[in-house]
This record gives sequence, C-alpha cells and structure tokens, in this order.
Amino acid sequence: MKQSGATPGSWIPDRRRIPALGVVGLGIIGFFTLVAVLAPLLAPYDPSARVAPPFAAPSLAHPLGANDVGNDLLSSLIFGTRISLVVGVAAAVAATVIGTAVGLASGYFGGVTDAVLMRLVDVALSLPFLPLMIVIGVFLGPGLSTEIIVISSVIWAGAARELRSQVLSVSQRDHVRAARAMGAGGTYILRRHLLPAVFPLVIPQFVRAANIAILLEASLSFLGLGDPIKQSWGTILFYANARSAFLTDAWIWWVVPPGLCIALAVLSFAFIGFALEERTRPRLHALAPAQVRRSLPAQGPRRGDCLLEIEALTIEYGERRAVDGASLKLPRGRTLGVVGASGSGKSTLVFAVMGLLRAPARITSGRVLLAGEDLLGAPEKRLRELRGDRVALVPQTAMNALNPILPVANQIAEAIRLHRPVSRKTARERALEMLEAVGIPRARAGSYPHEFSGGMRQRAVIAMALANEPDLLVVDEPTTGLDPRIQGEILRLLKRLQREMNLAILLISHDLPVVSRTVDTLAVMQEGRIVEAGPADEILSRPQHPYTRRLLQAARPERLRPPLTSTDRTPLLRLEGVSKAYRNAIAADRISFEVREGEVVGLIGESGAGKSTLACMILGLERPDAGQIRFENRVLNDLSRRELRAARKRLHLVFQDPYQSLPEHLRVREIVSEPLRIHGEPKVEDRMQQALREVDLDPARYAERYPSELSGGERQRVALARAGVLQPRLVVLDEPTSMLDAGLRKDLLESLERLKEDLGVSYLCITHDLLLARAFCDRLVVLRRGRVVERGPVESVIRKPKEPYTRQLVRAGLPEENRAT
Amino acid sequence: MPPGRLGNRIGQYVLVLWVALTLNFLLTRVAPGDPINYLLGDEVNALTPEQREQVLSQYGLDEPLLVQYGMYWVNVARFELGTSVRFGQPVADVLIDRLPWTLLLVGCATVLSTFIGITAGTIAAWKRGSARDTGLMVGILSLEAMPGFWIGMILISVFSVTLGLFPTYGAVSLVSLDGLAHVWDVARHLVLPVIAITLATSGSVFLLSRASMLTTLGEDYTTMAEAKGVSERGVVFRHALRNALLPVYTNFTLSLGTLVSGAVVIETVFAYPGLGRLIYEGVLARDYPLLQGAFLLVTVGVISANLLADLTYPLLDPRVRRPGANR
Repeated sequence: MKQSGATPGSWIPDRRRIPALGVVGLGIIGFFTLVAVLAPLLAPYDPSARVAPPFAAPSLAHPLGANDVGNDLLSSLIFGTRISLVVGVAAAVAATVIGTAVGLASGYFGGVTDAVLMRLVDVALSLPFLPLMIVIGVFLGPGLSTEIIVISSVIWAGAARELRSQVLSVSQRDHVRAARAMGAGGTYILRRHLLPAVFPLVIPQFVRAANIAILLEASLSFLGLGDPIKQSWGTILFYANARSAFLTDAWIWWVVPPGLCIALAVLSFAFIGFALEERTRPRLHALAPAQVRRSLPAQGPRRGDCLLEIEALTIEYGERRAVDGASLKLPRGRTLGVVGASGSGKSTLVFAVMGLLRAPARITSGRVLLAGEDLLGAPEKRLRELRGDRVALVPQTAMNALNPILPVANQIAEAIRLHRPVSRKTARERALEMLEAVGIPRARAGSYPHEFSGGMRQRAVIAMALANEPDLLVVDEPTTGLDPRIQGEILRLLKRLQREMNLAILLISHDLPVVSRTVDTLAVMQEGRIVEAGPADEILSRPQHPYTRRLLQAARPERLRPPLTSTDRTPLLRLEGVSKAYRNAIAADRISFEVREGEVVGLIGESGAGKSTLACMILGLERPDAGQIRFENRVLNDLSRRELRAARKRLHLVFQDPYQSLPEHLRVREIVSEPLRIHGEPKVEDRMQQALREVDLDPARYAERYPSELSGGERQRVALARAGVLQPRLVVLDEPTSMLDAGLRKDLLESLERLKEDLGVSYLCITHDLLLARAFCDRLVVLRRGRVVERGPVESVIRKPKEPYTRQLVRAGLPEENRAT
Repeated sequence: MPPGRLGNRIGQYVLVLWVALTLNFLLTRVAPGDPINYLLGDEVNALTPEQREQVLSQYGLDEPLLVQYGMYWVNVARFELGTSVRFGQPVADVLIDRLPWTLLLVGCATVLSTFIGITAGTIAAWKRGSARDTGLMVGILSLEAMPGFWIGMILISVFSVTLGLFPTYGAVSLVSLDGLAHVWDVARHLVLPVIAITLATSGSVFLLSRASMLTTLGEDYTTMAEAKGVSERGVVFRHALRNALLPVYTNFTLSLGTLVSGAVVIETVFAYPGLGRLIYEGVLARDYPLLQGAFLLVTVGVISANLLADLTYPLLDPRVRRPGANR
C-alpha cells in the first residue's frame, strides 16, 4: 500500500515533548547510578552498625532517623540504591540476553527449533510465574543471586517473543529475500541484515526489562527473599513492615523514602522507554479542528450556479504550504477531476471540503462554498449535519473504510438515521435498497465486512456514501489497490449512480488515464497549486502547462525500440510443467514458457494469478512441487549448492517495492556492492561505481547516502544497479514500476533499456500494468489462476486477444486500445 | 474461535499444567536435602531410624522416582496435596479456606482497574496531545511505578492509623457479626487492599487501551464514520471503542498471572487472609507442601480464566466468530 494512505489533517508527528521525558529519565537514572557508585563516600555511617538509639527521630546527625535496631536510615537508603540497581540491571541484562538469544534462534532457524522454543515461551508466559518463583526462591534460599535468577526467568519470555516476531518480519522483507536470491549464506544474512535490523529493538527491551526488574526486586525482597545483610530498598521496606514501622511515628522516615526511590527509578526507566517508543511511533495530535484564519471575509448564503466553489484556498502545516491559492468550481451533476502526484496536496483538499481538517493544519486564506454556504466558517455542528447528508466521501482505500465488527447493512442504516428521523426498520429497508443499487444482493446485507471481497467492500462504501442522496460526492483515489478490471467496474458504477441521482462528483486521483475517462472538467495540481484547469477533452488534447504535458507523456509510455520478432535465439530460461500448491490454493498449474537471449518477456495477469510465486521459484526462494526450471540449459532444482550459487551470479531480480527491497541500515555503496561481496568478486569499488553510472546515478553524489535519503525513483534505480552489478544474463522484474509515479516510470524504463543494451541482459517482467508491458516487452504470457491462458508477441496479444480473459485485461488496462478497435 | 485454534489453545493449557505439576514434583525431589524434610518439616530430625523408614515408606519415598511420579499424579487428581507443616491440616483444606478471600479481592480489583484503565485510556487517546492526555499519562505512569505493597503501607498509615477510617488488617473483625453488619464489615476491610491493587495495576490497562485506541482512531473506518456525520463522541464510543478493546481483552487474560502475583504481596501488607498471605506465611515457615499447593491452585485458576477468555472472545469479534471466505 502507498504510504500516503494516512489522512493528512490529523496525524502529524510532534517530536518535541516526549524526548524531554527521556532526558528526565536519563537524568534520574544517572543520579541513582552516581549515588550507587559513590555509596561508601556518600553514606555517613555503616548501614549495619548501630549508631543511634532505636526509632531515633530525624536529626542533623541522622537526617532520616534510625530504625528499630538503630541503623542510620539514610545510609541504608544510599547503600540500598546500590543493591536495588545492581539486582535490577543484572536481572534485566540476563533476561534481555536470554530473550534475544531465544528470539533470534527461533526466528532464524524456524521449523522445529522455533516450535519448541515458542512452546517454551508460551508456557513461561501463561504460568503465574511469580508464585512459582517464590516457591523456587524458597528452595534456593534467599539472597541476591536467587533474586536475579528469579526475576530474569520471569521476564525473558516476553522479550523473546517480541524479538522473534521482529526477526520473522525482517527475514520476510524484500532486502533479505534479495540477499538470499543473490546466493548469500545464512551467517551472512544474520550478520549483515538480521542483527543490524533487530539490534535497535534490544535497547527498548532492556529498558522495559529494567523497569519490571526493579519493581519485582522490591516485591521479592518485601516477601523476605532478599539478602538480609545487603539490604535493597525493598528489604528496608520488608523490615519496616515486619516490625510494624507504620504503626509508630517513625514510619514516615522509614517507609516513604525507599518507596519513593523505587517509584522514581521505575518511572525514569518508563520515561526512557516511552521516549524510545515515540521515536518509532510518532506522537499523535488532538482531534481538535483545524484553525481557520482567512483573508476573505465569511459571508452568508448566496445564490450561485455552482454547487461547490473553492476560492483561493491556502492551507499550511507549519511552514509548509500543502494547498496554495487553489480555486475550483463544480456545477451540479458534473464531475471534476483533480490530478497530481502524491504529495501535491490533493488529499488535504479533500479533507478541507469535508470539513475534516485537523490541527496542526491551518487554513490561512480562501473560502469553500457549498451551494453558497461557507463551510470554513461553519460551526462543527453544522458541518456534521452536512457531512454524510449533502456532502459524502468515498475515502482512499475504501476497502478498509467499513467497521470490521459491525454488519454492513447496520453501518449504512446508521448513516441514514444520523440525518433522517426514520425508524430502524425504514432505515434498514433503505440500506438494503442501496446495497441492491450497487449490486450487492439483499441476502448478503447481514454480512460483516470481512465476508465481502475487496470490490464488494468498495461498492458497499459507495452505497453508504450515497444513502442520503447527497449533492456532492468526494471520491479520493477510487482505484488504488484494485485490479484494472474492478477499477473499471467501480468507475462505471459511479457514472450510473451519478446519472440517477444528479450527483456532482469531485474525483481525486494520481492516475491521469483513469480520471480522463470519467470527468467533465480537469484540474492539474502540482505542489499545492492548480497549474491548469479546464474541460477534460481540451486539456488532454492541448495541454498548456509543461507539468501536464509530462503527466500525459508519462501516462502513455512509448516504446524505445521495436519488439524483437526473431525466434531463433537460444533459450535462457525455460519452465516445463512447473506446479506449486499452498495449503489449499494452487499457485502454479503446469506452467511452461521460455525466455530467450536478449528478450523481454512480460508475465501479465491480475493479482492472485500466481505471478509472484513463479518469480520466487525461478529465483530459488521457493521450490516447485513438480516440473523443471532450466536456466542456461541446466535444471535449477538439480544443481548442487555450489553450482546454484554460481548460477545466481547470472540471475537476478528487482522487487516491486523499492521502500522494502533496500536495507535501511546500509549505504548505497554497500547495497550495490553486496552481490560482489557475497560472491567474493574482485574490483568491488570500480564495479559498484560503474553499476551506479549505468542507471544514471552519479557515484560521487549517491554512493555515501542511505536509502532514507533517496526518492522512490532513485531507490528503484539503486535496486536496478544492484541487480546489474554482477552483469547477469537474466533479471526478473517484479512489478518494477507499480510504486512509482508515472514520470518516474518513464525514467526507469530508460535505465532498463540501457542496461539491456550495454550488458545484453534479458528480462522477465512481471506486471499487471499493460501500458508498461506494451512499451517494454517483446512477448507476453498471460496467467490466470496459476495457468497460462495465452501467449504470443506483444502486439498480437494486445490487438487480437484470443481468450476472453485477455480481452478483459486489455479493455481494463488499455482503454485507448479499446476505443480504437 | 475456529475449533482448530481452540484445540491448540487447550493443548497449550494442558502443557502448562503438566509443566507446573512436574516442576512441583521435581522441586522436592531434586532440591538439595532430604525430601522428607520438605514434606514434613524439621521435626523429622527427631525421629529414630526405624520411624524414619516407616515414614518414608508411608509416603512412598522409598519407591523409584517414576512410581513416585505416578503416585503424585494420583494424589493431585484426588486433590490430596499433603499436610501443611505450619497448620498441621491437609493443604487442600487450608487452600479452600483462603481461596474465597482472594477471589473477592482480586475480582473487585480487576473490575475496578479494568474500568478505570479503559476509561482513562480512551479519554487520553481521544484528547491526545492535550494537557489532559499528558496529565493522565504522567499520573498513571507514576502510580504504576510505585510498588503496590508500598501504596498499601501508605494507605494504612494515612487512612487507618492516622485517620482511623478503615481497619488496619484482616478481612473481618474479631467480633463475629451477622447479616448486614457482617457485609458492611467485610466491605470496610476490603476498601484499602482493593484500592492498592487497583492503583498498582490499572496503569498497564491504561497504556494498552490508549495505544490501541490511537491505532483504531487512525483507521480508515474511523475517518469514514466521521465523514458520514457521526459526532466525535459517537466515533470514539460507538465505532472505535469496541475495536480498540479487542487487544485489551486478549492481553488482559495474559496479565492475570501478574495480577495474582500483585495480590500476593498486597495481601501480605494488609494481613488479608487470602492465598497471597498464605504464600507469605508459607515462605516464612518454609512450609513446602503448602507453597506447592498454593502455586498449583493459582496455576489452575489462571489457566481457567484464560480458557474462559478464549471461549468468550468470539462473541466480541465477528471475524473470529464467522471467518470469511475472503481472507
């Protein structure tokens, strides 16, 4: 999924306040550590010597007074710091070490090791451990080592479980799979990828363990399991309780200080842990509505011919202008499309129209008028009346917009009853009608969202949005995450409902071809500004602004070379009857095809067609159940480890998501040279630089950067450089452009072609993007539910598809083609 | 819960029970020293060798370890847990005597701390970043940092000793009362220990509810609810809360063990006659049969509570109750 799925008004990180807590925590712990180290110097007396009369009141000589035997309480407290910290920290270290080792082993080895270790962890977590440990502690006899053993055996399991899940998620990540596909061995992956990724998590684990350990130490000592001579804070309290100190006047000096020390120490560890956690999980802001400070005066209702008017709207987040003087008009019953790359301010616009902008967003100028009524000045109560009644929203990733624990029909009925004084029964009846209108049978109305398919959920959300027959429907990225075929269905559905209800639609998208088919007028947005607006046909045929032209060009990538037609080339990769089944689904069913020298073969089909499984098998990340995969005329499954490693020098891959396929903790230099190191190749530096230049990245500028300093397009080119550095014969591309904006797609295509030209590589390109397939591939293989349904030269498959399935794919993916034929 | 997964969980609990029982068995046999001392206390040292032999064979301690293990299981199944050294009564009787008090105490504290934790967590997440959120956060983190037994000691000093509002110890007064007076008496004794446990344990519920609520408020369906005109309050309580509570519920059952452990220490402070106090007395008297029996009972209790939670979870989550075809 795209990262921009977050709603812009409400979730902006604020990193100022919490780290301050972390500093406070560190300060307190630092202070206690100092006291512990310097205890013999700081303490006025030996804590076990009788230096004062029993129960002595506080005095200059004994600031906290004395206990029942006449020990100086301040000295006890100072030495107690030592014992409490040592036990707490030692136990936390032990627990973290054990937990880390178990977690790593379990996640790394998997299989039986994992099963056994995790059972152990589960048992440890569900036993009431403290009572057991008290029992064991009694058998072992009281003392500091008993305490350390007991405490660490209570808390190791939690750490182990968390680290294991981390290791598992890291090893499923694309950069680890990439390293594996490059032929990296287990220790290499552990050393270079798993440990660096998991290590930062060990520190918060330790902090949490220390937090719990100090509290547990206090409890155990309080139960009399501490060392009677080396008294900790908890032991002091044990004696205070055992001798009923709190029934005497001395309790306040005897009982309060150790307790406060424990609380402070625990609290400071909690603060540090909290600060560490906030670094990974940014703090969230209050649900307070956005501030409105405008230059244009608010005004009463006025008659206009337009349903929605946005005038010179400017919205800022801190210093950044998300929307910059945007003006738009949308008449009743028409459709306005707003197109722009991600980050262009489209979504902020949506939230402004819905009245859902949240602080820290500030509306610094402009007006949003709905049927003449100023929305920005309206009180929250009025906005709530309008939302869902006159203005409705189909949000981005609408598949997730249904509440998972409520039946679908109830959610629609709720929308109706919020705005109409109708009975439950009437509302439900209306909800069922709406569901029918979007093509969901009444019988399914009682279903929960998870019982629907993605497309059905999308339609149910549309039904919910339209339940009150609004005037304006705001549709945010209606097609992201949907297959082309379902995309078409949804757009047609919207069109039909628009006619029936005389709806005005504001359609937001980054996908120009999708929008251009649906809208009457079009506005192109770049960095918060509307750079061009007008009738859709006009903009499409005569774009004025250079950005619009770029978007248009990129949307229709052109072939950089004519398709290969000769068939006499030697086969490089050949699949023969390859089959693979998972538990109950067949992912590949007797698949056969080949990729020849210097050729680009496109593997197309919807998601779930089995494309990615096939890629994994070709790269040796999965084994086929049946059939053979031949590479350079040798069967991959039959090769020895050594031969397989050698083969992997000539077979490489580029993953779909450039945000996952690059390890964040390595520099570009190390990432690109990784395959060379794995295979022990010479001249690492030269070849790394060469590979970077090959994909148009200047080594001087890029080699020392981390992936987080790169854009999506740059990341994908680094991935390509890594794939090309060993000069492979075949590169498998898994949806190489699906995460890239259209403009970047074109750049990447150029890099791919150049690599092919210079190194003579062949590509197997897995994609559902027919525009890309048409511009890049020589031959196509069409997959459906794990089977090859059609194959042939690219143009003949696209122009004269034989199978109905291929025809559907082409119609959905290449609408222009559809129009031409 | 689908039958397969439930079966798994039950298998898991059986495993836990087996581990707990076996540990219990091994401790007396493997720990240094003579098992007879663990079972009967130090007075056996005064026995003559003949008497000693007699006792050994009476308890089956001269049998091979495996046979002893089998006998141990038979005894556990009959709830024969040996004789308490300190009380000179069968361990089972002592436990049954104390159990209701712990159930009462932990039950009240659990209800209260869950309620407080969820309410505060929800409010903090709803008003996130506000002064109220920060205040709740710092306040609750501080309370959680304090050891429960220490809170108990302070409560006694202030409310019982200084102000004389509540009794200082025990579950009932020495004079026996009946009827309403008895109920009132029990309630008065209950107040301070319940407050102490609640204060010490509501923090984790608070943190979890807050985090879970924050995640839920960021979900697409919450935005959708707002977009269809649901008020803020409605979004938080009607749409988000039930979803946010799912992880709180599962985690709550996991933390039952910790809760009981907390009770052990706090009962000690208040001399409350429950299992916790019993364990403490067992520790002081080195009463091994008693300690083992108590541990066994706590384990069974925690496991039953977990099982109950597993069985009731599907009522809360339709995705588990009716697994869909599309996932």
